[in-house]
Amino acid sequence: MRARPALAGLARGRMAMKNSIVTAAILLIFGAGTVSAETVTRRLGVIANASGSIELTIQSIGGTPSGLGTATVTTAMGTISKTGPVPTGFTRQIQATKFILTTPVGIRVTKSNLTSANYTLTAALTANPASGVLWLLNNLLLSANTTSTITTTGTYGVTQSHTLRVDINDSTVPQSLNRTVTLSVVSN
Amino acid sequence: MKRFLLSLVAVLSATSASAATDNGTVSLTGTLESSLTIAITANIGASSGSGTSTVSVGLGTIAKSGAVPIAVVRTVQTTDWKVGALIGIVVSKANLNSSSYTLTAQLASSTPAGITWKLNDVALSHLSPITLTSAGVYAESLMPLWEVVIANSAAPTSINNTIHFTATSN
Repeated sequence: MRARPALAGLARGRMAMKNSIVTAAILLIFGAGTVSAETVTRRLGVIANASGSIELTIQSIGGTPSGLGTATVTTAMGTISKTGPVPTGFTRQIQATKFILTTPVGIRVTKSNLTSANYTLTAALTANPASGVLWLLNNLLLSANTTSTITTTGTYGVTQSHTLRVDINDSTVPQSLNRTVTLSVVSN
Repeated sequence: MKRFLLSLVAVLSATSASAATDNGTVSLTGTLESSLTIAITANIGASSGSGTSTVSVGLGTIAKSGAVPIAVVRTVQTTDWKVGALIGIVVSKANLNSSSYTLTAQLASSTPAGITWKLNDVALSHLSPITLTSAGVYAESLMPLWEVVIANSAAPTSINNTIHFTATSN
């Protein structure tokens, strides 16, 4: 019973609002009709936040690279073996039961509109390596199943050198070694 | 409650906005090939490169009598004489599906009259190779006996020559 006055008041309010909307619409129509004879001033208000961003680029790597200076680099090692020619920019280390190829990778991360002292760099393979083959970055094992943290204190604006390494066991059969390393950088 | 939820949303928004991210990829392409290596050990005379695939042995001046080079055995016979030594040959494989190898040897050039080079008592020629083994075991040292037989009738001359070893996976 106490609710009835309130409901009645709400109904009156909606009616009043409906009336005011109708009134406003009428005024706008009249207003539109008088624009041609008046000077009209319009204001454009823009509300936006400048969002911070970081950019990762690969600056250098051994082999025959393409895409240097961008975030997507492909490099060709050609044909590799334990005793044959070593790809340009790579170093080969021969051990009793395997050989190791290494190349420095220059990675630069820049920031814009961001208050951040350093960054974290992680890496993972898009597909696991063949049997008897290991991929490492800065001596950290890479796989497609887990992400390896390469650094948690990366310096912005500086090309930092990391060592990409491929270990190939003597028992590994000849095959394609193609793989892709995904690099992810997050500001700290 | 509404104010609390708005505050929570505001806090979450602020947190997610503070970390910026980016990604990149490095793709390497390459094809792995098999390899076979020969390492020759010959610590005789004045040798260099022992343990590698290119070894040089200096015997100096040799004669039927007189000084004998280091680690060389001289055998004197009625109509000829010879110098000889064991040399070590190790064949190694990598990224190769093979259980054994064949090893052949051939001289680089012909020998002077009255001089014969031998491996395991088989005469070497520059015309065609001889087979030292067709069932070589990888990573194990093969020890063939290398000899140079010099007839008494051979004129003093240089006996320099080179033996080419070739290993082929079976």
